[in-house]
Amino acid sequence: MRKARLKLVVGVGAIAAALLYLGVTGARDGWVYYLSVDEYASRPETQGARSRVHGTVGPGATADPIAFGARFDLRGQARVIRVEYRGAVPDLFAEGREVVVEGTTDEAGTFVADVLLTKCGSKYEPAGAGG
Amino acid sequence: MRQQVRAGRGGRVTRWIGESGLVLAAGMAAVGVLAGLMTRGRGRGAGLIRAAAWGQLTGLALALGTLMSAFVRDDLGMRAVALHSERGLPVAYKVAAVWAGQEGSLLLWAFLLAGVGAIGAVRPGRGAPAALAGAVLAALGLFFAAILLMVADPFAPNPRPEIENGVGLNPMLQHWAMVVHPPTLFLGYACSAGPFALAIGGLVTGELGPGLFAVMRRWALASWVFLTGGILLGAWWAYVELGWGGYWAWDPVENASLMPWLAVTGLLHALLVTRERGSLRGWGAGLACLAFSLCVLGTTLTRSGLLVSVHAFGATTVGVYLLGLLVVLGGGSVGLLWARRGTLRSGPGIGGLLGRDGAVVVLHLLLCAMLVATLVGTLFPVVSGLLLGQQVSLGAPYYNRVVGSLGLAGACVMAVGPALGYGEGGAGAVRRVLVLPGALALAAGTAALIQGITHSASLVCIAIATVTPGVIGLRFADTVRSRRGPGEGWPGAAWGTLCAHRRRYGGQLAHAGLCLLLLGVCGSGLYSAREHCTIGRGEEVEVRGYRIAYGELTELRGANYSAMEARLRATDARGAVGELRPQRRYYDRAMDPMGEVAVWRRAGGDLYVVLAWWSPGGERAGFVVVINPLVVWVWVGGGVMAAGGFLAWLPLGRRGANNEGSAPAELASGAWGVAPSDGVTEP
Repeated sequence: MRKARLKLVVGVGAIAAALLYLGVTGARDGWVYYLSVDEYASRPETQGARSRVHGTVGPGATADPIAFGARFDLRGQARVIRVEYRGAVPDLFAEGREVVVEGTTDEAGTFVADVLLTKCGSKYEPAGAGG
Repeated sequence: MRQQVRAGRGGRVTRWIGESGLVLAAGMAAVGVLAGLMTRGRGRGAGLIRAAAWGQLTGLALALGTLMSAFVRDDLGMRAVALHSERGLPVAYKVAAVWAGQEGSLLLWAFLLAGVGAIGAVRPGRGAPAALAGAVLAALGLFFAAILLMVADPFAPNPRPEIENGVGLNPMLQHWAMVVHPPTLFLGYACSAGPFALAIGGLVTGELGPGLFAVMRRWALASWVFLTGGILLGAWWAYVELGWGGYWAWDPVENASLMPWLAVTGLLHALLVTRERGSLRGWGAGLACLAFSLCVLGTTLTRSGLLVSVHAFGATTVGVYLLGLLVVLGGGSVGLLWARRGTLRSGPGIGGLLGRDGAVVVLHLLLCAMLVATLVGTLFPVVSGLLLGQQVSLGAPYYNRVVGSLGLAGACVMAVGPALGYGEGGAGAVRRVLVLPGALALAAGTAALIQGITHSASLVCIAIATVTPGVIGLRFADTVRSRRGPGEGWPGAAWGTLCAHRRRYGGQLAHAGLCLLLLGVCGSGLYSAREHCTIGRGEEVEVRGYRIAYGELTELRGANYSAMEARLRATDARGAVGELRPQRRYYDRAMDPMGEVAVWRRAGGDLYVVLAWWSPGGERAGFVVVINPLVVWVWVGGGVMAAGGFLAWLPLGRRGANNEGSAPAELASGAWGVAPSDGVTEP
């Protein structure tokens, strides 16, 4: 009986350890900060990590649909970050639009994004048939 | 002017009819609750509960019918119509617009729940658990009717009369899958209320007999089929409508539909073992409670504005009430399960982890772990906000790693589980049973390696997809051999076996479907490729083995949008030719244009093209090209799964009829039959 219990404890322990390992490594891989430009710029610890940053497109933004990319300044209340986006440029991308970008900062200090979402300018209630 | 006045009066009548329906439903639900609690199905109680359930359904049908007709008639004096529909919308989308809004979707939910209550309503003589189940369903109906009457009024007048033609339906929702996806998923949610209510009835009375579990199983199967179908439709919609090239993004709303599915899947397996052996009753009752609570959680997540999601509605007070309901459901179930732990344990125990029932327990643990991991990921932005003071979300890599690994482990259990017998197999017997699956897995893995497939997840998928049908086929052959009478032909014996064990083979068909789905997920998840390309008119480019020629760009007009359409001609490596016409649509009532993707589907994979931009005059155009290997098998496999569940559910044949008919007797006796061994259970 004692042996059976020992087996059980060892088994459960091993499984728990495996689950914990999965969870921790998974969380590390999937970890994405959600920040405003000001928060992002003022928190050095988030800059190496993948982040989703929202702000407003500043003046002088260049979108190059042919090369599937855009370069622009993303402005917050007080801070600005330089963004280089690679991918299909949304139609509504323009100076003054609110956008969300997702990516990481490279060595040169540019935020390299592979996701660019223009915040919904439509007059809809953000509706979805959900479920 | 005159027309406006008429519309106003018509609006009042509509409002009056609709709200009368809701009041009727609420009143009938209250009668049902009282009748269930006071009579417990004795005397005329059962008839009263039944009548109240049908009355409740009638009231909600009236309300839903009224709302639907208001949408179809463009009754813009109503808030719901003005905000979610427009005059120019095709009729099918006007109907879909009913559940595009929060109030309409809650009304649909309540209507389907009342349908479950009415169809499953207690028949005289079914006993106290079934009567209490009726009361539970009536109480849920009362809750939703009250919410609709007091908080989320679907018939509220339009507060913004300046909206003359309606705001319109979000263009993303103008797709056939979005017409059927929400009702299908809600049906799955509603059907899961059946096992839940029965479990509560059984737990309260302490009468947890085989008849109760047999009825639970039928509702659980119905719920599973609809949830599977609903999730599949949602994934299909995301694939063709959102334009990012995938079908599953671990969005909170997607997770909200996956979690009940996981719980119901576990519930079905628990009920199977309960039927054969009488064990795992605690798992059955617990998972039934969990599944329905997760359905309510799903509704809460999508309706409360708690989480940011592309699909979720804005913040409202409804979420608070739903959260309250969730607390009551969760707390009540846990309390009841704890109070009845003695009764639930009293049946036979499981025969060790190396038998069939042991495998089901392992599967349950894996499903629960997947569920917890999904829940943690879904709530992480909220939790991290509270704990770290910093919103962090867990992206796809987290889910793929954690939920994906656990899912693969679960699929491994699925592959070998049916090879195991019930009870204590003993290591020797298990070894004997597992030699063949092991050999099959090894052979399949080696063959895949030789083909150059090295990713560990795909090797595991291939092994599972080989072993599962192998084990099913071998056991089937065994059964046919032992069944074949003298002088009977093999085809006749095979057909006879299939008919006699329809439910078992329905389940195994679902397993086979899951194998196809796994291959599809594996192929499209691990080997998909994405390219951006710019093509001049009349030119051709080569993208990963496909030659894509751009013909022309034309402008066209749809019912409520205009569009630019590019004509492409794709040729694959073998010379097969496909036409692709991706569009960019400009809906009359929307600011944001919508991409309409073009997909060339073949068994080997999809060529998926999005029109990204074009130069003035269409001299050149840019496309996002996604190549998704094997993705078609996601849809085929999912369809096969749902078909298998449906086959197992079909109330045909002797056994099925038996179950329904004998339920009262079994409920009364509460006795478990002798646990027959696998293969001779279904005469």
